[in-house]
Amino acid sequence: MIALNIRLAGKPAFGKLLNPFSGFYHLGENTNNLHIPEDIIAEGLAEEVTVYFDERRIPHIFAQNEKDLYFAQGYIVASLRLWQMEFQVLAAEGRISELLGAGDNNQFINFDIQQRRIGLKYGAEQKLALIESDPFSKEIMESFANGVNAYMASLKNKDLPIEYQLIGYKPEPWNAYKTALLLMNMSNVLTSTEYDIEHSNFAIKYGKELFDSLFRNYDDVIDPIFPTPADGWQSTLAIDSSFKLGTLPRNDSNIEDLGALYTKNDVQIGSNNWAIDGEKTSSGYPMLANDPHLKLSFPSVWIEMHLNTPDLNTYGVVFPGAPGIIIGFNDYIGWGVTNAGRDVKDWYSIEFKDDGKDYYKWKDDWKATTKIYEAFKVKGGETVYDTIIHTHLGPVVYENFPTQDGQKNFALQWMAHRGSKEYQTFYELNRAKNYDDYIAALSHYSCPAQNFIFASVDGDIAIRQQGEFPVLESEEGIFFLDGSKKEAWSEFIPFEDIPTMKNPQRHFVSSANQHVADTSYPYFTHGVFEYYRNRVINEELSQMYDADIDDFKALHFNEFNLMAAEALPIMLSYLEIETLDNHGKEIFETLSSWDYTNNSSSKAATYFQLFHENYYTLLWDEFVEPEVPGGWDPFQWKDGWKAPNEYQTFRLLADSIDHRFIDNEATEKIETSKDLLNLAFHQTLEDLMHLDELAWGKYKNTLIEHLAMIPAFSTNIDVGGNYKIVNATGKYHGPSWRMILDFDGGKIKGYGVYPGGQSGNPGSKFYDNLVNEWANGNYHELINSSDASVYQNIQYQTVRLKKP
Amino acid sequence: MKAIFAFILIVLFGSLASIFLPWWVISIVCFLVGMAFLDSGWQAILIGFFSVLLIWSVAAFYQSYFNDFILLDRMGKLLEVPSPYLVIVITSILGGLIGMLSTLSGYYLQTINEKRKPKNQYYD
Repeated sequence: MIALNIRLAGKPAFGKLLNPFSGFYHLGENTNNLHIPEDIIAEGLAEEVTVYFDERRIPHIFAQNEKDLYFAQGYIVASLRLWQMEFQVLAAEGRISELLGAGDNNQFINFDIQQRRIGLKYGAEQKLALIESDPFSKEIMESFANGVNAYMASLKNKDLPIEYQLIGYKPEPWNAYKTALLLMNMSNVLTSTEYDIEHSNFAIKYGKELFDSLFRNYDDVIDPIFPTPADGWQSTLAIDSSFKLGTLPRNDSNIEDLGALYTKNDVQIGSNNWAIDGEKTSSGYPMLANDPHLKLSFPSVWIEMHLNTPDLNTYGVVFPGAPGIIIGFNDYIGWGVTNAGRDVKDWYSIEFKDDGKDYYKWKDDWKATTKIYEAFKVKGGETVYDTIIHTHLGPVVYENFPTQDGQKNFALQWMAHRGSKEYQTFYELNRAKNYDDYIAALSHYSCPAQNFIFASVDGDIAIRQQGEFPVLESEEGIFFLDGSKKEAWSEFIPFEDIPTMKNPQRHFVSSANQHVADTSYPYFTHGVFEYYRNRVINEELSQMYDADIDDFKALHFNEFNLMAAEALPIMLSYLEIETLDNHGKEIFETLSSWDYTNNSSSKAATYFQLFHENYYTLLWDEFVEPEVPGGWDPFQWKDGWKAPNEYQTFRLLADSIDHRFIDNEATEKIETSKDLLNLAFHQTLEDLMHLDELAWGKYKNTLIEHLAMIPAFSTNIDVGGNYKIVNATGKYHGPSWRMILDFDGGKIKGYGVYPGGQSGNPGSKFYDNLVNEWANGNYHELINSSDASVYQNIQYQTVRLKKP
Repeated sequence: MKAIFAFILIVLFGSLASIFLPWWVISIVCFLVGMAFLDSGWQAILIGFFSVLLIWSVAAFYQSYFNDFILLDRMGKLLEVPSPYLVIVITSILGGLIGMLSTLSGYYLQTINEKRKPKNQYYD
């Protein structure tokens, strides 16, 4: 009997899990009922709160004051997504091995150490200090936490979400620190991609000149978010942006064996947003759209809600675990975000005085380090300890790390370490009434930098890339720098010099992770940017007239593959058709007559995907791990290396630029581009022999994966689109929320849908009910009436949160 | 007759106890019934097994039915069984085994007590 009640060797206790009274059966929601009682007594409320759930289980929360509103938001979010909220935060803090044990090859311990070393916990502590320094923010965070905790207190063990039962642990009380960790985690997801160490290795081994020609920072084809203003860019600082750091080390090393760099968050995340003014719409009022592309997961990254008090009426999506609305609208304005993608994460080599690591070199002297001791509990194992050494630049993440310039210690300076008051921005956006309020709301925001798009019932449209950016010397941050010479960032681009565009002549504003501005912008900018989606969007918007929401829906689902349109004709022109057999000729013909559209039934889209992956892998074989099939960009880089991106790759091909990497190292012969493309094509024909599904949607087989990677709780779908395409639904990432706002008649009507469901419970019909709606483009009207009587009818189920 | 009575007792009190008390209380019910009412080991095995099998299968089916079998379906995939209904079968058999072992334990304790009785009288 006892054995049945205790978890053994990672398997859940069968008696506990399978008994039909308190085991998993109990968690299967009765499909006729709400997931919470209709009357709830909640300690801590000042007045009664009413929540109306619609037929998609979207809560419309009506409270009499703010404190009660955020309390209720916390309660309701927890009732739908408790496990997800908690798990994300534990992962951010580096506590996964506490739940899951060390993992294969200590993978969970290594993950936890990585999270602490790069400083998610440290950054969250800085953010918490900011929250606590402001009584107003503190009160909101506390109200939200009280709501979450009130829900948790109503649960018996058997009511805990199924993931707790399967893994075997219990939730901890929520607090402002947990919300800070959650926001810090988003900062990490959105600002983690940079290649300082990889770029340095390249430049050291192959020379700066070759680096510059292959990894261009800017190209003429780029259509930046902010065109240069007619009277040029203004700058309020006197800037000397000449390159004077002299940080690039010499090529005097022959180390080939590099240590392992921590995994970066995928470069596949991104977003689109755009707005057009009344000149371009059939109604004469603006329209706005946004679709943030994040990892597609169960439970979904977003939860949809409507928040109302006598002074506030806002609707949109939120991260489960943070108060307020992140992307949405109120009665006056609508807003959306895309990621800026600028590099706000720099690495510095640190020289310690001795093995004690108590001092490091600083100018001509030694400076004392600060040590932070971290403990990692491991389920079924001994606690692991790590000492994290802090310098004036930030924590030392890598120690004795091999590079092309010998072993180095690397400290990380990261904007996210400095705390950011993004919660204040969202609080004010929820209440903003016009353009000035929008700008005032953004003034609090520093990290992760976003392109905030805006439209108002006044008829204004605008976009601003908001974030705090250090003033950099030219090329600063592309390579790692010498930590003994570099001061911590102290000068930042002034608020008035940050690009902003309001009601432009072209009647639209847009962003899709491209470069912020051209090189005439007075401050040096660099980062990881997208080259294709934005050009398609701007082309479509510039030709859009008399637009209505159907035009915006069509643009969300635009599946034109600009990369293929630019690259494929050149690639095909190199092929020796006469050497192909009938099958090869057929594939060639299909590709030649392709309309460059990645719709789900297209076979040509699958052929192109394989062809270009094979070419890329053969071309950059020096940097790409060859054994990884299907690539699914990001390619698996050899550790410490990174090849030029696909845009640069095809630019080099189009311009017939010869360089040493065209030769494939695995062969005796010295290859040409023609050899590589023919080889890649034949390899593609070979790959196609082994494929069962040739249609793009089936081949891609987009995965919406459960956060704990439980296959039974995950889903595959057959949809078109891909990375670098406006409908950016790739293998693992995609539009995590599609929203369209119509300001017709000076009243905002919203439409939206996301790939998931409101409930995080795999035993609920609301777990995945929106997936097909999302795939088919069935947007729902977002009903945001501040008149509660709209919701007092048969289509809504009512919950009352009452004070004792 | 006594056996049928015992069966009804387990189903009745076992169900009530399972609804209002921790799930494993069913084994105490079985244990007590086995100790107080049963005459043979075979009786204990059969009555213990089928009474709890009945309770668990009805409860599992009932809850899954009102859930449109959504969670049962996913648990079937999680446990890698060919049909989700097999999860109810496994649940029921597991319940049956728990009932059987508990009832049998109760019955054996009864027999031990009975063997001791004469000795106790001897020392009175």
